[in-house]
Amino acid sequence: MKTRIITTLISLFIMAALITSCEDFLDIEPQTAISDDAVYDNHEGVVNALYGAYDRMAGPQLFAGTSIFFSDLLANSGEVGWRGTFVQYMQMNTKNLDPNDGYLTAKWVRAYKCIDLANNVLDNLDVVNDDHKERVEGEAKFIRGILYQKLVGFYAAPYVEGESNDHPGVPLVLTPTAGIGDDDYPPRETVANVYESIINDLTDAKTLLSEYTGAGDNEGRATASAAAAFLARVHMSMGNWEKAANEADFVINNFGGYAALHDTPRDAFNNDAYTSEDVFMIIQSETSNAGQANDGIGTFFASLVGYGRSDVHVQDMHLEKFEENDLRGHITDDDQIVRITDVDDMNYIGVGRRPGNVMTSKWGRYYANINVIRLAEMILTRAEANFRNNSSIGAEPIDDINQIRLRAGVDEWETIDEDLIWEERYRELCFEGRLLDDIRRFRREVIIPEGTGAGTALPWNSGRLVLPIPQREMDVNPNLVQNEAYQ
Amino acid sequence: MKKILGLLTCLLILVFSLNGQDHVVTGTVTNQADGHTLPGVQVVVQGTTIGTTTDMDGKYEITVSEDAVLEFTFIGMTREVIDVEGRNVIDVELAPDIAQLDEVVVVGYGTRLKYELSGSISSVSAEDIAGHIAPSFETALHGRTAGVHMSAGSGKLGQQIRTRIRGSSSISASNQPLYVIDGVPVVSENLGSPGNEPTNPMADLNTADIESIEILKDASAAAIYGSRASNGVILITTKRGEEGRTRIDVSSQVGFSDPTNKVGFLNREQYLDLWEQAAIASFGEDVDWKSMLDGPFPFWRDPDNPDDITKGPDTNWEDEALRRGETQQYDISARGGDESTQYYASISFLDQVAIVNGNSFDRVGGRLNLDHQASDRVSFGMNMNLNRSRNFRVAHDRAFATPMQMIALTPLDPTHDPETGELNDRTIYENGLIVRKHSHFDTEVFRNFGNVFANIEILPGLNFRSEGGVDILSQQEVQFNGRPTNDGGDTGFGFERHVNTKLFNLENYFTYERIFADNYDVNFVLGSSLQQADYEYASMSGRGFPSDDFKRIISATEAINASSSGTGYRYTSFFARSDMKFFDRYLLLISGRADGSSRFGRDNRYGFFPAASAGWIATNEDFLIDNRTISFLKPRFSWGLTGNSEIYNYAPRGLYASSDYAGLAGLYSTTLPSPDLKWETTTQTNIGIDFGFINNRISGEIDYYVKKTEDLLLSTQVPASTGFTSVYTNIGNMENKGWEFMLNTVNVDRDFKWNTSFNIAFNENEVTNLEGEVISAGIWRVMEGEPIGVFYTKEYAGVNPDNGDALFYLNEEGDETTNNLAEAANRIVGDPNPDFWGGFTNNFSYRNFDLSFMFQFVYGHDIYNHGFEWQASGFRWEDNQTVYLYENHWQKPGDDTYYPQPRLYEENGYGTSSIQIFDGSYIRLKDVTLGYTLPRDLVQRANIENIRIFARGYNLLTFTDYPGWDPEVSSPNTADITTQTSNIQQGWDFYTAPQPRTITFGLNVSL
Repeated sequence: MKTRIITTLISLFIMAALITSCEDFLDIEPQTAISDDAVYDNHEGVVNALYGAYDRMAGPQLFAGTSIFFSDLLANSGEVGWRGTFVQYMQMNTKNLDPNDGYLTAKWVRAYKCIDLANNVLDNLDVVNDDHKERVEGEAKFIRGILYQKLVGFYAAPYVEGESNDHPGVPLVLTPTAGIGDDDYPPRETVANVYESIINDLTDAKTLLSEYTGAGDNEGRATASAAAAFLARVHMSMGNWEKAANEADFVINNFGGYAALHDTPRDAFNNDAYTSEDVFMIIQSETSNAGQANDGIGTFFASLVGYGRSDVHVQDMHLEKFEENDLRGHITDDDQIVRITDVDDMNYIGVGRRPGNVMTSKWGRYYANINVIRLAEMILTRAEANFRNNSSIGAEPIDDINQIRLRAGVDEWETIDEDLIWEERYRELCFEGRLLDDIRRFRREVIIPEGTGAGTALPWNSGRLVLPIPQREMDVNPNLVQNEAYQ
Repeated sequence: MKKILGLLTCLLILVFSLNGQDHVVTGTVTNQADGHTLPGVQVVVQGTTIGTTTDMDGKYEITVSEDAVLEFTFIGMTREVIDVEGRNVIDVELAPDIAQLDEVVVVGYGTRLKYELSGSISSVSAEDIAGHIAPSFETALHGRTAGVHMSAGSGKLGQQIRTRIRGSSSISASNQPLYVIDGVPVVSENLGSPGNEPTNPMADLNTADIESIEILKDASAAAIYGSRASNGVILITTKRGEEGRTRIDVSSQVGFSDPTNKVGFLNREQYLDLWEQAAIASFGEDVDWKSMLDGPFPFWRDPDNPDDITKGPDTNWEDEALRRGETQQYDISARGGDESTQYYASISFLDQVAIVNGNSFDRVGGRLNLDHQASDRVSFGMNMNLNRSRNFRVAHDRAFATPMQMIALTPLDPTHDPETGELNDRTIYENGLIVRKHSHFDTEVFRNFGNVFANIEILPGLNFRSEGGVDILSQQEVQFNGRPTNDGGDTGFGFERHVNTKLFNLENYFTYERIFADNYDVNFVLGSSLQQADYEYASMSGRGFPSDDFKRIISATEAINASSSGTGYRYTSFFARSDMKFFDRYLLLISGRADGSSRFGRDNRYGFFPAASAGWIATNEDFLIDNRTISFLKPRFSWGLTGNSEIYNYAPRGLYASSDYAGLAGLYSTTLPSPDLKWETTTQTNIGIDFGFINNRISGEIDYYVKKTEDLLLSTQVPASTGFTSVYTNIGNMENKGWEFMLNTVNVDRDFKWNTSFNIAFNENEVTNLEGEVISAGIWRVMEGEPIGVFYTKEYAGVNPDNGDALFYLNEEGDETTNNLAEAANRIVGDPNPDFWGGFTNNFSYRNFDLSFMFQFVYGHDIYNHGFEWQASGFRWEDNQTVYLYENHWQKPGDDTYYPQPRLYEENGYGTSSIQIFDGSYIRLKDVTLGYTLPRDLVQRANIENIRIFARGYNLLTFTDYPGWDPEVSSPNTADITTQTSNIQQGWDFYTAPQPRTITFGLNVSL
């Protein structure tokens, strides 16, 4: 009896030990992720990574938020007041930037995440089905190109036409990251080389995506006209006026000319889908959006019932820039307003948080699509590029400008000059993230609107209008140099 | 041979003794403590086998020689040795043995006598924590155990508690200890939804069911838990039945709580005064500062007297955010049994209303612990615990919707709209009272801790034990934000989340216990263990409800963010331990555990963790055994390796997660692969001594330890230009070293009794090597040569007395200052790790009264009051300001104040810098209890064993210079407390609610 018990027990123990040592027991697979080696060995995986890059790009750190917002705060001379409590945005407004700022760090991190995904896609095109190959390559290059444009535009001193532009741009990474080696600590490439890479990528994208020019089924994705529109922006920054006019003209022609503008400027905003005026948008939906209460561009700009933090208030300095009849300067003052659809004008008196201030109605809904490039911008760009180039590619500059003015309900001009183009661009594109580029191109000043040094004029090429390289990146990568204003 | 010698000696002595053995001694032995006589005391003539025992009345009679020496011994009493010197009557008083040598301590896979331990274990008994009013037991340990530092997250209930045993040993992996309940390592990490502060799964255990808590601190004690032991192990043992009649204990406690502190914010008069000053400073003397108030504060003027600024709203929002809480707790338990079957059964109910407006917690539960002796050889039993706890939560500290952020509202914001009488929805930030009224966030947890076990005696001394344990947790979170709230939008917002965790644990082990040749005590353990934990999550949100009456997602027009996911981990282990004692003096323990973990790749998943310790009970040596001053002395030494594998479940892999861009499903990379990742290991050396003097009236322990952690599981920073920000590697070393002192004294031991217990622990943490890596998280940094998470930001140099500008040190070193915050260099300006901490407890009793009080202290940790960037911002924004700022700001040339000149809508040096960093040292009167036990003969007439009534106060007094609500803060980050961010971001106060000051009245009845 006793022997039997002992035998049983010992065999039990050995069994337990066997279970315990069974190797498979410790092999468990994650349920919400897959291993990297299962992504790039098949068509579907590569395409999924491309879509993943779109998703990352659509975050509040990039085109659905701060890519637009940073520009308008950095270039703000007092047209708007920042009344929010986010210190980082306040510092952006007062041009007192901190390299530790989490928002400017997040933008850098997110942009390179997308770039790495795009690099992976481009590196694995060989497994993509032939009939999709061109499009996949075009879209990946588009994403990489526009992100480098954002990076070099924010984190490096501006490109100066006619100069060597060998000052530091941003690290230019064009191959996928496999593991961390010595090559993964790149220095900043020169601005000239970064621009060259951007032009290469976007030019390729425009060619590869030539079948996809309109919006329609391709909503939210890269098209040849979207690539051309970004190319127009890049060429404008570089002073390549003729090329810029040609690219803008390409875009306008693909949208069927002026008829594609809405009847009123107000109709161009807070839409759920592409409209005839949209060249490139970031799609927002209930399940995929930039955020509701602490992120997402609308929350900063709105003061509606139950929506918006009312952080950005339109000031008189802004309103004074509009002629009396200009629809873009009109203000809806109605305390019965609940949603943005109740607002008929481009501005309204806030009714939600911090009521009573003038708010812009460009950004007023949780899930509305984010306008990135509108046709109106391309019309103004063609006008400006032709004007500077003394040409009339596609149209006479004065006609382009007047088309925008007519839509806004103001009188046509007889003649134009650089100042008038500058003013018209401001009136049409304010709060859409164009101001910083325009300040640089028109060589304007930015006046520090408040805080330490309020009233100080900063020239267009001031180092304080350039973001610092994020401190975390400086700490990690010894090959980087910090921008001058932050050394 | 030895035996023969001994026999011979005895005989010899006998012969001598016989010589003069005609002297009769009689006497009575009594207990010194209560004067009662002691039956059964052994009375032996020293050096002989001649002896007797006292009778029922404590009397003895013995015939000895006139010069004999008598030895009186009794279990639980100190030994008395008395020379007869010709006397015939010798009455003896025996003193209770204060450091009870028969005190039993739970160790992993067994129990030991405390005096035989050679490792470092702190033990807390049921008595120490009885009636502790809090959702979970941990805070009761703080101040009672040397080297254990606990801090509650905030005054909110059921929040995770930051526990550090001998400092932080990791940067990226968890620093929380392993919790083991009745042999089952349980789920103790946060399971709350990611958008709120971490919750505490230990709150599902009823404190009244706990028999003892052992904290395994050094490597030799903890290494039996191998790869999970680097942060120490907390062993919780629940109460078991005892043979005897059924004993029923009933205890109840009711009481109320208030905040330990209120910060104090400006009233109307002060607000207007400071506003005027700030407006003039920004915009000049001619500024129309009154009309500037009309925009943000639509109701600030009295409608009848709009120009009389003394009239109008004057709201104290701090009083709206914090309120009087209530607490009630009832426990009933029964224990008893016969020779073969014993049981412990209990039910309990706890209901607490927090001092934070909107927050409450309740728990109801029951336990049954059964033991049965089936035969001489076989016994088995089971423990079963079912609990339901509910936490009615509020938003996290960083959300506008959290009640504490109501204090950002100003006295000029009335709570109610004077025009409509409804709650004011035109406050400068969201009116938290609207949130309170129209939203809720309920978390309900069902928890089942249970295990079954069987023990078989195979041979005398050789036992086989098998234990199967489960920890099953089912949690449901239901959140609703109504239309009037910001989070509700104008359609209502609902969120629901379910979490199930299923943990199975199987332990099989042999123990062999035997004493060889009288002097060689051995205890061997050999076994295996297997654990599997699976976590399942499902959640969904909805928008677009027809009205606020509909709160469940079925009524939402848009069901969004539907999600389900799961994760898990597994461990397999073998362990062995040999614990030996020779001649009742020399202790030697050797143990080892081999662990395999699913968290690591195939080549690195096994680790081996050996440990050894030795001790010497010097007082059992001949030269000390009769020493009357030194009653106990035991130097001990231990060394061992422990591991830490508490990282993300799939850390070594390069993973892609799914993404959604407007309906396009995609993939994006989340982690870089790190196939060689392995455990981080901690080598801990401990030297200690246990001592007792004068009948152990003074006793204590001193320990010195050095913990060296190497191959840190480090989330190493990589350039973001790679597309990644970090990769897990085994890089770096960290060191903790420190002293722990524990001193217990019996000051008076008559009718009036007074005991004191004091403990203090010093710990010095240093990151000794990071291979040049610097880890930043906000203003916290991890840098070589510094303790973990030092504050690294601009250093405030005070106010320029001439113009009220804030000044900051310009460079990393030197005294040069600047008034431009952005230009100032970062410096190390503080350290959130305490220098030392401890507790001081006094227990008094006199006849039927008992009184105890405990002070708890923490010294030398700095706190970053991040909330002050708004609460003391000098009107950068309209937020209400602290009275501390009002009384300490620059107003005119020559003023030397803490705060610079407030300037409306401007940042005069009120941004992030050391201006918000303060010393958080404090001493707190944590626990005071006054009790009265009804006279026994009175209650026994009613067939009641015992009745005690008591009043108890928690956190009655706090002494600190910290200007925020409370110096007991831990990160209010929404990240789980086990994550790197939370490890680094210590001492973060962001609208963190203070601890409650609670007064309760209670009753204990034993039948």
